[in-house]
Amino acid sequence: MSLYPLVLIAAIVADAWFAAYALLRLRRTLARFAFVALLLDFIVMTAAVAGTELGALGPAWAPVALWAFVLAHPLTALFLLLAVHGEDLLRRYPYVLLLLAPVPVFAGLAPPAGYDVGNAYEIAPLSWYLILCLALPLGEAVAAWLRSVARRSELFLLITGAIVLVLTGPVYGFELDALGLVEGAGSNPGTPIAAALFALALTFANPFLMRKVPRAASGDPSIPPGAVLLADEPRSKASAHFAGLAIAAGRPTLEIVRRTARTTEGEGSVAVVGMEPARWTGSTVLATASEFLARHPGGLVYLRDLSYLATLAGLPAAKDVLLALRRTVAGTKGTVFASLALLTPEERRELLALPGVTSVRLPDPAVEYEAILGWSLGGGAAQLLRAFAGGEHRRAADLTYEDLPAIQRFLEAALAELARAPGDAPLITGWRKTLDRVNLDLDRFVRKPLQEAAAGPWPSETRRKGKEELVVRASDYWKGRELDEVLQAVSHTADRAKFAERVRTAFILVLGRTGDHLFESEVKRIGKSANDLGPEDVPRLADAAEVAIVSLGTAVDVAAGKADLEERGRRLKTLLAGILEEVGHGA
Amino acid sequence: MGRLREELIRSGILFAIALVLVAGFWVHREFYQFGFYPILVAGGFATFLVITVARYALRGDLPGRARATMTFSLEDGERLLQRRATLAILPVGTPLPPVGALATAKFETGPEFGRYRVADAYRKSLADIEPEELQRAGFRTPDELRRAWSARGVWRPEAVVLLARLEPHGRGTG
Repeated sequence: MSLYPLVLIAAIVADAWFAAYALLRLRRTLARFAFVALLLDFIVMTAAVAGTELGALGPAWAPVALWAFVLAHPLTALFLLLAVHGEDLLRRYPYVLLLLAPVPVFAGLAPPAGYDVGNAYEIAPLSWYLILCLALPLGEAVAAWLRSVARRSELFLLITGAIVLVLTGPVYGFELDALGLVEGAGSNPGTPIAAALFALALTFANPFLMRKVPRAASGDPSIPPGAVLLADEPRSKASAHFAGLAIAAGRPTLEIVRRTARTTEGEGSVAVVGMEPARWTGSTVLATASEFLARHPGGLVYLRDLSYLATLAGLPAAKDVLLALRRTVAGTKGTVFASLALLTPEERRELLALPGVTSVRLPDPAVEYEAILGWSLGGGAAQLLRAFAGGEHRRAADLTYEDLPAIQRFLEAALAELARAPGDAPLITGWRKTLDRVNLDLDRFVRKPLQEAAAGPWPSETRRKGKEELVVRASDYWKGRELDEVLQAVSHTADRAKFAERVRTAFILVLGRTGDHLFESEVKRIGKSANDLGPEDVPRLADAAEVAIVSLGTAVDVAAGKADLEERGRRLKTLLAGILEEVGHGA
Repeated sequence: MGRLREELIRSGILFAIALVLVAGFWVHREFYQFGFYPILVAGGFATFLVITVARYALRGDLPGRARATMTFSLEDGERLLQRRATLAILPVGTPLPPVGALATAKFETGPEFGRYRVADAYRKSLADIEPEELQRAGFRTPDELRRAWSARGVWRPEAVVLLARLEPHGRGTG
């Protein structure tokens, strides 16, 4: 018996394994569908030839072998075109499906034309069709490989797979025919090799695992559709804010960030995916965005960490990804929004010069808050923001759009404190007016839609127009009372409330619900309310808690229980000492 | 010497695979009129060349390209060499081999001190460097980083830097 049918059976097993791998591991919907269809066709084709050779199948299977063999060619073409051009191929070029149209025509012509598996590559026009089906995607893959920087590894594998199919298909077929070994006709022993290469290519470009986002129409007018928007901003605060507004409006959004321990998978209409260090990140990002936009044609892809992509794959690859995404969203309601934060000025210039991309220059809210406060409060603005940020254990430069409500509450408390001391009615009215004006300006800045914010001028670039005379100017008032003094008082009140919560949390962490009760009773015992609790009270509180824990221990007979309570007492003391150290009251 | 031996063994295995592949084409011995042994050797060699070129191309290590190197200041190099650091904080324009690549590490004065695999590379502003990253870069406090950075220029918290996570490969020469 010839060994060739056994080789074919091994090929069937390998093809089936790759089909299972594709179904279980690969995430590109259309490319995976085409790949599995191609592999199933390979399996039918090879099984028909091997079965006939082994005598298990009768001559009635010859047409099955022939048409599975013929169908393998347009399926190869479709798979390769989908793999090369991405999930939007059928939207952009739906006529590629016409590649399948000649198959039934040739099937009808088979008996009069005398087609069989032995002469399929020899009789025109069937042979032309088969060769065209292999040549077309091969040419496309080579052209894309020459053009692309981000997807070189993936495209190289696709090209190699296509070459393997050509070598082990028509070339090998001609050779077998020339040698008179007709039993192998209609089979392609290279299918597992090609399948392995294709599977590897799809693995390189396997989209990140992303949560399913409900389908919705684009209800966000602020970020224009059909464009790649590059946000020229110092840090990715403004772009995150506008992407957040789109998400709040229910627009399906994919956020691509650098994966850290804090990366979540998103919620509601947003899916968050994290880039990980790999050489083919460009391929993966492109595949992920393409897959998301195929599912949500009106969706938003927010590439928050473009700098990470540029660092991992290089700037040319990042440019390549943006250009490919521009082709994907062109003519659709989808948008790609990428932040240029952390890129150097030269890199920004190169990216902004890309053809067809739209740039938006966006402000840093921390700078603009200071400018807006400066209009009414002069030099005290920076001090106010520093005091607010300090209370939050952050830097003023880190303030974002989302901090505005808290800043406004802080300002209200600070200005109320300022107005309290003299008790002069006009002064109080003046401060109320100042506060209202500041709040109005802050709200106006934050509520600006994307295009308006990008158009500028920003508060930091302009002097206040139509300035009205205030009843009391900040500069007049500072003479009576130092701003530092007021800020200290306001920060102190806020800090006290936060401090008490931290101490309470330490009690709960160590003793569970009992800890909460113990905290409340011990605070009462020292004659204070929780909000009045300060670092100076903690040593007394810790001692009192220790006594309470010891007394609890006396009620426990089991030695292990006593030891556990003692251990908890020690942990509580350590936690409280840590809190004291953090607020600068350490030993 | 070790690298050469490793390369020779790998090439030998590849050549053997190529011979096996070509042996599968024994049916061609008459078709090509070459005889079995000439086609075995010539075909095997040709296949070996194809595989080797593909391997080097995929690895991005084609002949003619310089072997990847990374240059460090004496202090940064010392921290890596003494295994006190696995993270290098570098100026943003520092050329770095691709992630996953092996690179020879050199002091800026010239001598090589080891080979490292670039496990990750990302950017941050100096002010955003977290305490854990600081520790992995071999600094105990932000002030220590500030002092070390002052050798490179003015400390600006908003300055963007490149953070490279490096994994030692083999033994350092130090």
